[in-house]
Order: sequence, then C-alpha cells, then structure tokens
Amino acid sequence: MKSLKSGVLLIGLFLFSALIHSNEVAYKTEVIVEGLDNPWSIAFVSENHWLVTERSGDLRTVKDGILQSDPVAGVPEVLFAGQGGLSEVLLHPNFSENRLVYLSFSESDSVETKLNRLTVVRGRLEENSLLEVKTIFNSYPLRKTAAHYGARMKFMADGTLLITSGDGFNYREKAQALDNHFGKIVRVNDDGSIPANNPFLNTPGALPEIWSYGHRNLQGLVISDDGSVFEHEHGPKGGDELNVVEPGRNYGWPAITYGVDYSGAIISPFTEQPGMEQPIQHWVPSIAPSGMTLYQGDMFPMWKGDLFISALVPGDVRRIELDGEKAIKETIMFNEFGRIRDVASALDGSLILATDGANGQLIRVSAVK
Amino acid sequence: MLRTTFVFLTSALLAMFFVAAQTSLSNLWWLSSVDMPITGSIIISMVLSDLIGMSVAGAFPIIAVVAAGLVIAFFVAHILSKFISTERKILYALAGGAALFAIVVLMPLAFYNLDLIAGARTSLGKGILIIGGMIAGYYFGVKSKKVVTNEES
Repeated sequence: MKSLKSGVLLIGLFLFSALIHSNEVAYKTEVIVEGLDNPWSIAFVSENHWLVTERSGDLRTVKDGILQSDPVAGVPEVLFAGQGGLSEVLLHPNFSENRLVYLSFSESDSVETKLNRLTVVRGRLEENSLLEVKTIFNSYPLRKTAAHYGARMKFMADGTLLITSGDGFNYREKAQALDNHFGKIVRVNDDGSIPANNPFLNTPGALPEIWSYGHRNLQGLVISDDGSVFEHEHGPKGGDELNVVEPGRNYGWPAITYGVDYSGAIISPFTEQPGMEQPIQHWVPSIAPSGMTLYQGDMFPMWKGDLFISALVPGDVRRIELDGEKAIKETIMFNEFGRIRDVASALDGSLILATDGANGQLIRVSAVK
Repeated sequence: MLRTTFVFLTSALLAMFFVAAQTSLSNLWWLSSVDMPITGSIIISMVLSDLIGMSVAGAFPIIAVVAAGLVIAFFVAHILSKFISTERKILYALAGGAALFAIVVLMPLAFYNLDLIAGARTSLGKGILIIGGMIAGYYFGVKSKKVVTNEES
C-alpha cells in the first residue's frame, strides 16, 4: 500500500513537472527520441519526417516520432574527434523540388592525414540515400586541431548560403586576417560558387568567400524575415557573444573580447575598438551557446520573433526577446535536461531540443491545450 | 628538507614566470601588430595579471601542472644522478627542460593538439618555455646542491 502511494505521488510529481507555465505560456515537454549518438542538428523535411545528424557520422531519420534503424546512406566519412564530426544538416530552400540536402562536417585531408578541415557537401536525398554528393566548400588552410569548427549554415533570402567557420582554437589570431577561413562567416552560392557581391571580392589577398570576420567559434546562426543575421559564438572563459552580422564587418576576436583564456591569461585587455563591432549581448561567465532558432511558429504566439539559444553550461535554453536588432530581455528555460546541443523550430510550431552526449534525446516542447 | 622545499617552490615559480611572461608578451606582440594601443602600463599590468591569473584563476591551475611536471622530472634526475656522473646543475637543467617539453609539446597531443598555454602555440614559444624550464632546473640544481653540502659539512 505504501509503495502504491509512493508510486501515485511520483506520477503526480512527474505530471506536474511536465506541465509548466512560463511567462503565462503553458507548455509540456516529452521525450520523442532517445539513444542518439551526440546529436548536433535537426532539419524538418515535413511534420513527420525529420533528419538528425549524429556527430559520430550518421545522418538519422525520424519518421512519425520513431528513430529509423538505418542511417541515410551516402554520407561522406567524417573525422569524429574532439569537437569535430558530422555537424549541420540543412535543406535547400527549394527542397520540395530539388531534394538537395547540405551537410557540414570535419574531415581529414587525404594527403596530409594528420591535418583536417571543415567541409560542406550537398547531395540529393532519395528514399534513404544521399546521391550525387558534391563538395561545395573546403575551409583553408588545413588545421591540426579538432576544435572550433563553427559549421552552422543558413540560406539567405537571395538563395546564397552562409557558413560559419571557427577559429580552430590554436589559430585565433588568423580570425583578423582575410587570407584564411579561420573565424569567418563565408558566403557562397548554393553550388559553392562565389556570389558576385561578396564584400572582399576586390580586396587584394582576401579570400573571396569571406562575408564577415573576427569571430571565434560560431555555433548559432539565424536570419530573420527582414534579413537581419543573428550569430552567436563561444567565447573563451567568459565572453560568449550574440552578434548582428553585417557583410564586411570585423567582430573583433581576439583583439577585443569580454573573456579570458582557459588558462586564466588575458587574451586582450580591450573590449572595444573603433572599426570592430560590439555584440548585442554577451555572457560572463560563459553559457557555451550551442544552437539557435528564431521562433516564427503559431503554437506559442507570445514567443513569436524571439530567439531561443541552446546552452551547454550549465545546460538550458535562453529565450531572448528582441526589439528589432536589440536584445531586451533574457529568460532561462528548460534547465532540467542537462547540456542542450541544439534547439529547432518544428513545422507544427513546437520547439525541439537536442540534448548533448552519447545518449542524446530529442525533446518536444508543445503547448498545453 | 624545508629549504629544499623552498628552493623547489622558487624553481616552480621561476618556470611559471616564464610561462606567464611568454604568454603575455606573445599576446601583446600580436595585439601591437594589429595596431591595438599597447602602452607600458598595459604591458606591466598584463604580465602581473597573467602571473596571478594563470596560477589561480584559470580553468586549471597551470602552476600546479608546472610543479607536478618538475617534481616528476627532478625525481627522475635524482635517481639518474646516482648512476650518471654528469654535473648536478646540468642534469637538473635538462630535467626542467624535459618537464616543460612534456607540458608544451606532449600534453597537447592528449587534447586534440590544442595548445592550452597561449604562449606555447608557436615553435618559438615552445622553445622559450623549454629554455625557461631549463633555467628553473638549473636554479634547483645549484641551490639544492648547496643545501646538501651545508648539511653534510
């Protein structure tokens, strides 16, 4: 009898904890998928058909809420080491017609096998296979470290593709030089060619793909309906940033920063400098921002137009209310699931959280009717 | 024993000074190269801040890593000194250099080649820190020898 009472009490507590009111928004959370190996990114083919990357190298399919046993075939071999592996999955804006899927990942060089790079490929998704896979971007130069790849992607309204390329950790000073891809956002056409209006196209010595520079490890990228590009990046020890990115601008890393090195050393005594952009928000201590979505769904009208940023430390989601391009309020949400690797807006208006680690989960946040 | 401990701690602090100063100066050198307004007071305050920050305020205490490396290296040197007739100060200088070599060259191999000490990201920086370790070891070899001599006399 006592155990029955305890059971009822536990079930009651579970239901209570699963139905939460936040800022007068009632929502429930439910685990949709378990057992993912380091999930990193989610793309929604339809309401019932999702693609999920596992950093260990598989592109997985979730259909009607069930993780399919066979991964998508045809995904290139990735370098799964450190922070590297299969990263973003992104659908082409005209996916319903051309079935094109874009993948970012780290890979070893075929000749200099101890060195690696960030690579972006595209392929045509047919049934459960990726066909006609073509490389559209290789970061330059090669690196020896397996960290700070960036690897987020988004299509702009004009059909060009933004790709974030991290500073590679050891190469941070190169974020201030235009002859490499460390610490940059690059912009290419959907086939990897260079758009004719990229900002450094006519700058001697600059790589023509570069769109903005002075970044660290860019892990969140969204574009609003009015074309504003929001990007967040891991700082060092402190100094995570949320930026509004404009083409050709310098975002300062590592010449200016609000953080210090993991060793405790000062990276730069400066936090601002003419010609270098300021973040619209920064975090000290770090929250380790890992993913981001701009909520545009109808399920939660109060959240419309807000940024949701997943964070690894201590593990939660930050809801950032915006006034145009200004961050005006931050609310901590979903802090009961541990490290959260990604947050995405599903087509039905719910939010999907991907937890970090070798037994990753997909958690749906939906409205209580 | 007390004096040997004091000599060892001084030796570790000496090595730590090289680590912090090399990190500060390499950062400042680069900042200056991209026209950031570096002044004399910034140089002094950054070296002092790094000496303290890298000892106590980092995600991991580098001074503890340096001290642990030197303890192991000096212990091995002590054993070897019983079998090798090399000058003590030379043996400990090599041991100090080996300790810093392990920290700035071998340790990153366990962390996906990440150079966690910014001053050791270049070959020159690694070389300077290994020389710093040799100086710290040399100091220990000279000073600890005096202690033994005094106790024996």
